[in-house]
Amino acid sequence: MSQEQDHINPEHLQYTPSQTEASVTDSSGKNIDVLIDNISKVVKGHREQIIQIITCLIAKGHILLEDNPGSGKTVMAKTLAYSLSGEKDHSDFKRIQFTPDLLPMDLIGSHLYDEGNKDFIFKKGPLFCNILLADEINRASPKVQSALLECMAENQISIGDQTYKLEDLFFVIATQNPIEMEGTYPLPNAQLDRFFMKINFGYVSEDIELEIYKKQLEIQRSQEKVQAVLNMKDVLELRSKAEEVHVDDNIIVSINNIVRSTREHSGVLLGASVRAGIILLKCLRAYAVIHKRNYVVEDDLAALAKPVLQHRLLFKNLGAETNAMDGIVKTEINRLSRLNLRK
Amino acid sequence: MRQIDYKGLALGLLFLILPTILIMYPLLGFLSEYYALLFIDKHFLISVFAIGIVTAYLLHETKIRFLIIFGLLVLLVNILYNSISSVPFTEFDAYYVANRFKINTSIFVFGWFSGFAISKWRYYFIVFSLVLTAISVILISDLELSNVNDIIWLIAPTILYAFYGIYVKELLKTIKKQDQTNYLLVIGRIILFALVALFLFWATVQLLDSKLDSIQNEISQAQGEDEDSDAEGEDDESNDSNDDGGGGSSNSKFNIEDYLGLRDRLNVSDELLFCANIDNFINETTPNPQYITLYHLNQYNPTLEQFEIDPDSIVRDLFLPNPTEIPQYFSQQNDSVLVYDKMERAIKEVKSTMYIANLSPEVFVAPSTAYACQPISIEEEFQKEYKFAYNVYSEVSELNSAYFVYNTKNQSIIDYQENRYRTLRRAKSYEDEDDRFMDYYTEMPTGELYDKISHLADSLTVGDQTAIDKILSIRNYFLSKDEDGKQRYTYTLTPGKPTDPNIPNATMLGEFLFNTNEGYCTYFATSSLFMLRSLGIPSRVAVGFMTVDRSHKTPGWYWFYADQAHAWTQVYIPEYGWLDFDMTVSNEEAEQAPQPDGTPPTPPTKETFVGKGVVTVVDTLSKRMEVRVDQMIINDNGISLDSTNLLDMEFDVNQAKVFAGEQQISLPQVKLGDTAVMVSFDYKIGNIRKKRDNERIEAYMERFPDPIIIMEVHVPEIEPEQLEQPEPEEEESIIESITNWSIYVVALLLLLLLILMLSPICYFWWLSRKAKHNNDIVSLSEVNYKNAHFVLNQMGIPRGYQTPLVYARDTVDPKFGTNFEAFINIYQKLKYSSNELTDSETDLVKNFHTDFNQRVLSTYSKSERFVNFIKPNKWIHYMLNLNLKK
Repeated sequence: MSQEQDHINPEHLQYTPSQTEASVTDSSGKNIDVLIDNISKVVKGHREQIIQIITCLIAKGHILLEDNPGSGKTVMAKTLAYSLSGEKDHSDFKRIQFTPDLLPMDLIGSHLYDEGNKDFIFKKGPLFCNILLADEINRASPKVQSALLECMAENQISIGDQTYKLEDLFFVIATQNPIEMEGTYPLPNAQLDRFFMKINFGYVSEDIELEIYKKQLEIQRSQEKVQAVLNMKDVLELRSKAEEVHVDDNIIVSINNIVRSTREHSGVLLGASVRAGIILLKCLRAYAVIHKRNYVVEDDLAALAKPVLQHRLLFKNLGAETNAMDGIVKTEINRLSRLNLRK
Repeated sequence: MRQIDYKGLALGLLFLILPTILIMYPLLGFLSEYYALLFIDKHFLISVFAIGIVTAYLLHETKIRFLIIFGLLVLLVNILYNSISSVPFTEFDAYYVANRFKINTSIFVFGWFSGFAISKWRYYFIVFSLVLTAISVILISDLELSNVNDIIWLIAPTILYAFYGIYVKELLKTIKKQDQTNYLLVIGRIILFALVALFLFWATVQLLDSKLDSIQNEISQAQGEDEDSDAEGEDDESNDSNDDGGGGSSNSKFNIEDYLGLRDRLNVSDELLFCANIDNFINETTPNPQYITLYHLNQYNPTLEQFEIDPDSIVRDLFLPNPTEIPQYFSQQNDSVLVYDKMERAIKEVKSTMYIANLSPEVFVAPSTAYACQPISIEEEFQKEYKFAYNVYSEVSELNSAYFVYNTKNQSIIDYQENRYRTLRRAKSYEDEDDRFMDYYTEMPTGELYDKISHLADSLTVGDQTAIDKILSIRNYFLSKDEDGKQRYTYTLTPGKPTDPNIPNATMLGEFLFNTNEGYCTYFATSSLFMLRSLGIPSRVAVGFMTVDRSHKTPGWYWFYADQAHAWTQVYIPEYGWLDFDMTVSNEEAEQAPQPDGTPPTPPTKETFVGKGVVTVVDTLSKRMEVRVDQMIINDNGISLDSTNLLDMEFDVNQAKVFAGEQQISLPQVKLGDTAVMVSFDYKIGNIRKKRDNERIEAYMERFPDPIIIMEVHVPEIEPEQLEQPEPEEEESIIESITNWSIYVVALLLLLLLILMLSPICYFWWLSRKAKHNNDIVSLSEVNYKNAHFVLNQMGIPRGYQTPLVYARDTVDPKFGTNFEAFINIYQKLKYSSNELTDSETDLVKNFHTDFNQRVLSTYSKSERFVNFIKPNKWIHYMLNLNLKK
């Protein structure tokens, strides 16, 4: 864990009332509410996406945002980062703009010769941070992409014979642009699989867009002075809490049903893997924690199944891409909701 | 429940229902009167209708579903009907009771529909009036009401009622709504109705057009004969009497009615009607043809100038059997006609054989005076040409002959004529005759014309002593030539209407005798009739067929074509009876192109055995029939058997032809129980004679071949419908059974529907009961969960594919202000976690049922709630999404 940028700002610690209650089981939920509200102040009209991102964060995963430029992806990542406080005033947030000429070294870091010690020292790259925004990930060469993905999977970096462990809380928010595909290296399916979720931002509703224009200055100002509301410890605590969430057998059966349905669906070429099911289970637990429950309900499944599984599937056609997951989830939720209490 | 609008109800009863009942009153009365509705009183009918309409109106005004009530009604009626028809009344009573019930039920149902429609259906008055108008039109056409007043009185109230109904209904509606009357709408409706009514009227006129045309024709014709409007009725009467006489022809081309009266033209066709062999000869070679009489005309209608058959004629010497009803080879005999004929001298029995071609075989044609008829078979090669044949036995005067006007150069005929005139001159005078008889047959209309005829007759017969001399003088007058050497009288089929404008009251008869001297047979017959009657000679007009002897190749055979239909005078001569004296001058046109004679049909082989009896066995495989014989003719000897010892005889029908009436049928079509006539021409039987006269019939029969070989089997004519289409009846019964079944199916469906509608209510009660009496928090939650889903589903807010939580949060709670979301949270906690519920959560679950139901249901009015609850589609939807039992 990096200790280089440790600057604790006592003001921030005092500011968040949730900080003190974080240790209380029931109150940690409130912290999440505060976090969500905090981000919502800056990123208007994307509450669902915010929750999904936080779900990924708590589920120890990474997220891929896909949308047109200017839909608030970067702001979202930044705000999340600033809302979390590390040992310093903010969590360690790094942003890398991916370009075709980016080299893995630029991410990981490299050995430099230290004149003073007459030795090579390892200069850490931007990966050694808490929250990494990998902007336009599909623009980088596959080499760079795979380096990043390896780090995401292993949570460590191996250079030569040395292994450097990444931060405990290492969360990648990658974005990619669906337009301007020329000169890009679209992520292969196997790599997309590493992301817990791939979510679309979409345009906000008319009312909210109007509000954004009206209160543009205000939003900009609040963006500039985002305050950290959760610290790393809280996040880790939430993560450990998520592991304790009870998942009923019926829900597990449903996860199984959904995953298997994707494989059997006529419109799907490649169905979800077992890993996909595991990730869905992790996300469900995190989602339950966000909703202050220690058990998973069908609504969690309804909310998460599509964002978690959609990008892992290969569809035969556009129609199936639009409808297949919805249909599968609907059927399963209907089954679940009609189950009797007594088994 | 919605507040019942008592005022509106009363107004409706008074202004809509009452007039409807009133308008139905005359119509139902009319129906019950004209169709004799099984003696149901019309007041009873109208009260049944009134009960129906008022009940339906009251029920449906208070918003009760139509289908359920009506379904129950139908079911009830059906059950009642079945029970009534199964109650062991006597058969007659059962039929009447069942039919009365049917009629009353249909009237009631009609009333019910009316009540329902008045309360629910805006356009009902138009439809109702149209139905009434249609019924009226049917009545008019069916009852042949020709009186304009009747028609108007039947239709006008209906139309007025329609206008009234449309207007008042609209008015009442607007009164209810406190709204301005929509006059435009009212006017629009009235115009719509008027258009439809006009169309209907037009259709009626089109339908009745032909009828009107014929009536008009008759009227104009009667006017042509200087007649007034009685014509129609009189004509009908003559038609009727014609039918009574068994005359007339089924053939449209030939119409014997035409010969009954004096008309401006006569249409004739040259179709072969029948041919006859009349065994009447003057000597060995010279045949003496006889006229063929259909019937006698005794009464004359001077205004119509038409003859009528007098059913009460004092002389009934006409034998009118229906030959088709006589069993083959058995004869029907009526000797009483001979009593009336009063022939005493110079009588001989003449046998004639008639072969019927295009005449209806039901019409009996024979030389007078016929007294017996015996249908016989036709040889096979002639069966196409002739459809029926029978022998006729007549008592014929030796002095009667077709030869009177037409004389040939045949010396034997001339001698015969002279001889008979001589004989007749010696006949007794009329002094000894019965007065009534004389009065009847010398009756004449009074009037200028008839005086004139009388004068003419007197002037023609000056110096004549005997009746026959007077007859000859009149004949000679018709045959005489005028000053220019031309025929005084000519025969024409188109005498035309009276043309002389100077004679205002010109009659066809007067025109004929005193002006044009042109006419057809009826003119001559009528003229001579009145001349003879004025001279005190009893005479009558006979209608039938003129017999013309055209061929010397086949003496005694005569062919009768449609243009030989004829009318002539018959004169009564004491001691010798009625003799034919035809005054009609010859038709030159017809003589120039005489109809050819045909080949006479070969007489059938002599029948040796004829047995009549009831068919007991028909064996189509071995072609055997067994008949219980009650009558036999063996070698011309008729044998009747007692009912106690009928003979069961077996017949070999291998070679037999089976006839049903005129139609040849196949053996399997013979029905058991029919009366069959078995005919055999087997010559062997002819050789078997009785040993002694008093030989027992059984012993005699034993010498017959067993079985007897039968050539022809005759069974009663199969009813046309049965013969042509045996299916329709079956179809009808199928239709009947289908309707029965469909009633059951419909009733069953309605019952299912009812169950379907009631079951949600039961389910709701069951859930409530469970919620009340359940203390287990888990099952209580389950009940609450189901109850909430059910109630919301019935109220039209099903969950669909939303998750329960989203449904509760986004749809239900905002709408009803319930705490459904909280409950769902608790429910899910119970479902998906092992956490214990807190006390507050337990309380919420416990109170949730009543609280939720109250909040949700209070949003709806009572009737809305009820209607929503019994909607079957929603219930089915709920059942399909019922909770899984895993």
